[in-house]
Amino acid sequence: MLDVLSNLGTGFVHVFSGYHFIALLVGLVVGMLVAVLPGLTLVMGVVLALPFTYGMDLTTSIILLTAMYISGTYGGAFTSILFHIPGEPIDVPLLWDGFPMARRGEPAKALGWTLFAALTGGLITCIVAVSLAVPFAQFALRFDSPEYFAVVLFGFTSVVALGGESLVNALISLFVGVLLATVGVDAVWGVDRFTFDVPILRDGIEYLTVMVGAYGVGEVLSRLELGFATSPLQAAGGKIETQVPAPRELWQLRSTFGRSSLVGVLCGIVPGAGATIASFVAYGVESQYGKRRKELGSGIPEGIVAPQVASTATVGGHMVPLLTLGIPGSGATAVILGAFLLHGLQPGPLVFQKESEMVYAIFASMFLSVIGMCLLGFFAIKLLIKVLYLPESITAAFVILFCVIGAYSARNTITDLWLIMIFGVLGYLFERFRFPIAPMVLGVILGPLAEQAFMTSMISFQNDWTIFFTRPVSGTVMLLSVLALAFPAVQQLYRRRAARKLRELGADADAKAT
Amino acid sequence: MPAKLRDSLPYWVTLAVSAYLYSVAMDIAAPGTGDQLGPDFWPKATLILMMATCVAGILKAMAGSRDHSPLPLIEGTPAADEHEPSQRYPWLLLVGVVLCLAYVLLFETLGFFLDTFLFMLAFILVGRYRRIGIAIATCLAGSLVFMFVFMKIVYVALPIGAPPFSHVSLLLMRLFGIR
Repeated sequence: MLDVLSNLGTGFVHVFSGYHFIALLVGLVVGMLVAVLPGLTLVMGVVLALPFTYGMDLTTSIILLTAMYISGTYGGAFTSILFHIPGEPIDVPLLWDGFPMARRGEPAKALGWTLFAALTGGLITCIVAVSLAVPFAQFALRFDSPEYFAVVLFGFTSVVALGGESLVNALISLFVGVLLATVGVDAVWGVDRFTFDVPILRDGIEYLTVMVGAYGVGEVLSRLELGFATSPLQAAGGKIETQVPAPRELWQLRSTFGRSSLVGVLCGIVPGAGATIASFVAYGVESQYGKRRKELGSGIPEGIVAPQVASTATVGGHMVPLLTLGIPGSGATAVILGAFLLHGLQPGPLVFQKESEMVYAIFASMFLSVIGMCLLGFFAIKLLIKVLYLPESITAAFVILFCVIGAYSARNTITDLWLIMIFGVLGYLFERFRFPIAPMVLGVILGPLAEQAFMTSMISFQNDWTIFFTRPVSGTVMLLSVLALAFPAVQQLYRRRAARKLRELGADADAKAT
Repeated sequence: MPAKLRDSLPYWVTLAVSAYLYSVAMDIAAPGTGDQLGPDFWPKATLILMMATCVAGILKAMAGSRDHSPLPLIEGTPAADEHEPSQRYPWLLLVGVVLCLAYVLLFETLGFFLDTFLFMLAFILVGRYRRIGIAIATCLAGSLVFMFVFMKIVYVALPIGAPPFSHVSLLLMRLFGIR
């Protein structure tokens, strides 16, 4: 434990040296701006920032992206509460209690609750990340190829199970991603796969191209089809300021803080269950177990605190599997993994031995990001929120520009620009026909790892596929994968039963009335 | 088009593409793999799973079971995306896609600066923004700042274009001190 604290202390020193601190400040401001703007999603923002990190050293670039990621989970709260515009899907639950509270004439109080919730969720998640990372990494050192395959498969299945409205669509999206990852020269046999005699395809399709195209260009095209029709601004109250709640009020909500932090951290660790799910689940849990559950939706602090604590608390949970196993649990952490790989470093258990300075600098930057975003939210939000007046078509043109330059900078080839446009159209079609994009992106990123782990296992264990089920760790994780896949079916069954029950109750009530 | 067929269309398309790709995967050469799984195994397995999933999707759509209505993630909470947009503009989308393709097509001919400036201006106007002065100023500033940052600071060799358009890029590069 003392080692961890000492390393963390060194990490803080690193963050305050060189360009690291500047990167942190820039990341916080840009992350908040991205979250405030309804046309830009948090993941898209992190993707678009990636090309700017090419010239930076690894630690600086990860600090920048992580700071963006953390402040992005908080910035959208302002527009949800004040203007009824959720900057991010994670901010949707804030509409239900945050906006009514603001309309009641207490916008400053609503923002104060959000600030404290983000601070609590953020600090808890950082503490959890620091305490879990080393034991997690030590455990992961014992992993062999079957365990790696099982863990990646679990990542796939949980993303599929939790990431979409339709299991079939999510599976297809995942398979598209895995297939895209096979394009190029096979690493083991040196054989061309799906290259169609195009020379650049022999190098494979960069997942960065897929991400930039599908998230960036695809989202812009989707919004263009709607005529860039963002709701007009309606400020709920003239003044934008934050009023921090009193200690007594905070103490009364201790159970909400505790429950929601737990939901956030757990959703963070499970791949695929990102901040959006955490925020909805935390609100749902509050509506079932909260002391004032019947008043939810009328503008009470519990409805603001629960989703905000949970969404910020996912960040640390996501960083643990990313740093210890190299497995991203969300779109934003997939981009951060991309930054690692662009700088030639594969995250995994050995990173803690070889690059411990960098790892703890990242952890320290997470603590500072949480505090920084709250200070920024308290003092600078009046200024930052002015970006909402930027016309959406101008923002969209800049997004395309970022996408193009990001894709071109990676390999300096025009083919990548064609590819991002193709993936942009594909991303639009996915959105139009309700196929989730996240499974495809994770499929592209983790596909090679899954294939390599599977093939190595098959070579090492003489094509005995039962090995994935007979080893204790891989067997347990494989079982979890099966459960994750069964989850949507069980959920659907539960909903149908609940709906039937509701219909029966309604029919009874009607019969009594007549 | 009947609703059931329309719902199943994406799965039919995906199934057809998967079948074609499977035929391509049949030609993946696997020299001397012996008892081991060859380089064709993984893509073939993925394609088989994809085709099976497409068949499931088709059957589901034909049976009229639409499982993609927005549902709340947890009981007691409204769904995240409850509303279908009231109006869509397919022509706007088409023009936008054409503009994006033209941007890439002319990237190396016009050079980064000119191509970006023209694309951004056209895109902003297509996006129904009508204050021309602000649009021109924004596009000009955006193109220049990006050119400066990426060519001077990040050292990305952005295309300067073919003559006579390259003269504009070269002039700007001289002004910015970019070599």
